[in-house]
Amino acid sequence: MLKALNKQLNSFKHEDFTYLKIGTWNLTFEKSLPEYDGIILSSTNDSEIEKTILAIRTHENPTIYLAPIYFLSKTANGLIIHTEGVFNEHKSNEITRSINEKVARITGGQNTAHKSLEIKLMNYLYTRDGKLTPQKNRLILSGYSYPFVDCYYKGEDFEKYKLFKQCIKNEWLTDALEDRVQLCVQCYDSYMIYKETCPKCQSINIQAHDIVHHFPCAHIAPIKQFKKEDEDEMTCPKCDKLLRHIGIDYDKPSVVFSCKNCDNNFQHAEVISECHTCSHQNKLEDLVEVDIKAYKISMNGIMKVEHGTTVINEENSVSDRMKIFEQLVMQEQSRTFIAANSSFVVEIDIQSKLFKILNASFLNQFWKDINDITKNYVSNPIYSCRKEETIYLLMIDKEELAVSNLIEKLRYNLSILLEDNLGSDVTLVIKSQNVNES
Amino acid sequence: MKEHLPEYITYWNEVGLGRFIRVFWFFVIFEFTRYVVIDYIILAIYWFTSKSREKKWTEAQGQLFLENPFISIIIPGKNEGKHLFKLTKSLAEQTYKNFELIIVDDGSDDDTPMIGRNLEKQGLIDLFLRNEQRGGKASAANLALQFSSGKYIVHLDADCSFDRDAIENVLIPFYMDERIGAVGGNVKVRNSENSLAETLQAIEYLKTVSVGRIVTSYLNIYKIISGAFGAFKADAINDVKGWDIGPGLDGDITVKFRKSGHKIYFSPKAICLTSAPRNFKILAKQRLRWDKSIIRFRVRKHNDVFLPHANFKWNTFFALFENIFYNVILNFTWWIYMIDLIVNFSSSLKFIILMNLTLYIVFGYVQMLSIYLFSERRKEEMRLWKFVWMMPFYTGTFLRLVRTYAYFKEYFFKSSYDDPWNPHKSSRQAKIYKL
Ligand SMILES: [Zn+2]
Ligand SMILES: [Zn+2]
Ligand SMILES: [Zn+2]
Repeated sequence: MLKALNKQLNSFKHEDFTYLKIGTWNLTFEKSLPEYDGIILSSTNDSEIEKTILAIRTHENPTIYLAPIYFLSKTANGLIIHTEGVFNEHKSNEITRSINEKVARITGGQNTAHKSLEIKLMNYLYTRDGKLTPQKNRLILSGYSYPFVDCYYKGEDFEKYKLFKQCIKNEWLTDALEDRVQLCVQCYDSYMIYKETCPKCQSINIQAHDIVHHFPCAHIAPIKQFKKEDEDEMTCPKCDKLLRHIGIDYDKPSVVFSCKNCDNNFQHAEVISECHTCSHQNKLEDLVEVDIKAYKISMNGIMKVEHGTTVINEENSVSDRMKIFEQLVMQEQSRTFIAANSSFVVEIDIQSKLFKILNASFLNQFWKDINDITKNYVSNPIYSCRKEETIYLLMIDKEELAVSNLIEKLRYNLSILLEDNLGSDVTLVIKSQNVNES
Repeated sequence: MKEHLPEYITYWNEVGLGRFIRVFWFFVIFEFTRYVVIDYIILAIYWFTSKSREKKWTEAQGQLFLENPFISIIIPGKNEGKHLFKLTKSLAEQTYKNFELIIVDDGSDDDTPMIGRNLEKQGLIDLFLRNEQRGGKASAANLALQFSSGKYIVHLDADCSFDRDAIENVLIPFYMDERIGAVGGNVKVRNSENSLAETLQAIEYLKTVSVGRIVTSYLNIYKIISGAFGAFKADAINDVKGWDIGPGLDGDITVKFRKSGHKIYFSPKAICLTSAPRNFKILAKQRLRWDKSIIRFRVRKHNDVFLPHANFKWNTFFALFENIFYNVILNFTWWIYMIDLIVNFSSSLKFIILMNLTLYIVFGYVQMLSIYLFSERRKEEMRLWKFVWMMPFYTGTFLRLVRTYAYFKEYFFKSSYDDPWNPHKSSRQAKIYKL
């Protein structure tokens, strides 16, 4: 009875969706959370909000760490990047539906704990829009924080770049350079104050002087030699002539600094970047340069999330690859296309008596060469698959005419390769089938 | 040839001294007197006084190292970056060490700024100044002067290299006579064995610089401190307000020093090696510039030294007079001489030309002997002896033609103002003010 009341108090119903309102985080929420469609943060206390968000996002249960989170009202809290934003009556339910559908696809209704952060990140990106975009953040030393990932790292931690690197290596993410930041060599803060200083004594008490060159007499000196006090006119101290017109009888070919601290003259002031946090005087060449990148989940990443495996991994067995291929074809069958486009399965059948005689390594190389050619005709290598002497290609979202053109090209290129390798004793049959018909 | 020889000898036997002088008046009056008689007299005196000079030198050397003044070495130039590292190495080897090195990059359009900044950062150059817009050599030198703090200013060219004691030896004369305001170094040609043009220039430099300047310096009519290697008292150079616009600013500043009452001295032991033009075409171009500057500066800008005003000085008068006389006036006299020969002696021209050649070749070896006597690197210069016979063709013909052409162009057309050696903006102003 009390529990039911409690539940009523803590829940927020909107259309078909029920959200759990959380003010102060406690562990009992972990159990009840899977019963809700999402979470609404009702507290205005920043530390309570932080505790809640971190507890959810770092959880091992996918229905918890992937759960949609909303702020109840407008906020300046930087942790909003780990959530779906402020709850909006018109848009939020759609977002919740999309996320939960994808979460269901991942879990298949089973609750297994996820330990690997790489996997968790891929799942997070898969259930969101697939993008991991760095967000400007003054509180983070590097000046940027990443949604979701930063819940796992306290402050500035370069470990997270290792995580990204590994995902790139796995080909689950693609990257694009967003910014290049320079950090204090001592404390990795990006907040710097740049100063021009004397290269000899590092004093900031330096002054720039324009140099004036009087053409007729070749006198050249700092401008103050040409100007008498309180006078606008410039007179040459060497030849007493009046300087009239820049570019005609004089010019200013350079600037020279003088240091009021040590009397040093120099043309290139040394730029020092002083760290705002630890006051370390960084020389520009000593600054730590870090590339801030935006990441996007790749086709391989999606395959990893949906099927737990990536297709172009050579170690996958033939039957595995075939299974995935069949799944992809099924997905295409249920798709609706605009205009006259549809998807096609192209079947390439190669027969030769020589296959029985030739040695295995030659045949391996032969099929690899064939594969390399055929792969070029599909938008992603996962849309190609071989079973014995037949290669299947899935061509997505194409006009029928375009497909038959591609097939002609393919036939021409393949027959050259076949003739080179096997002579005339070979038959090549290529058929195509529209998967959206029948 | 052989059958003509007795005829030739008989001819000259019959001629007699009077007629000989009449025919070869140009050689006898000008060249023989100035370059053989006077040179040998001076060299003899120089020889006899060497002991006392040696003593004075050693005392001055002690003085120099006792005081150990801070000096500024300044090197203005355009696109000289490629020489800079070598130069700093060469200077680091010097026996005199208390100096700052100031490089001025006069609007280079190659990688000189990068090289210069780099050397400055490494501490091999004390101050690297760059003018984004080119201002000409005089303004570049003046900029270095502005920011120099040494008691003496040593002006160098970037593509030169120096004997280890060169800086020391160019400073010592200041301690021999305090009226000396500027000292010129002894410039010789490096790698003269590379080409004929360089070999002949090496001989020429030995004559005009190494020996010629000992003589003119002794006569107190030494007139040009070469820009490649010269030292100036900082006070004195500030007194004359630095360099004026070139070309020929080396000669110009020397005249300015003389005019303002400072003594000029040549230091034969301060040896610097320079690269001379590789071939005759580049050489002709360089000499055209030098020769034009004689007209522009000696004849035109500083012609007041010939006027009897309050500042009149016989030394300065003679220094410039000798310079103008032996270069400009003699050059035209030579053409008169040629006409004289053709008009009055056309019948015996074949003997006369042959005799002239003989005289000049013998004259060349007589001069070479004086060089040999005074050189401190006789061994290296031995190979030059076998080229001396070519000198009449080089100095007597090639250089004379170039000179005549230069004088003509400059005197009538003031063409030095069009020389790209200076930026156009400066030349135009210089022309307006007749500088
Ligand atoms: Zn002026
Ligand atoms: Zn300073
Ligand atoms: Zn710091």
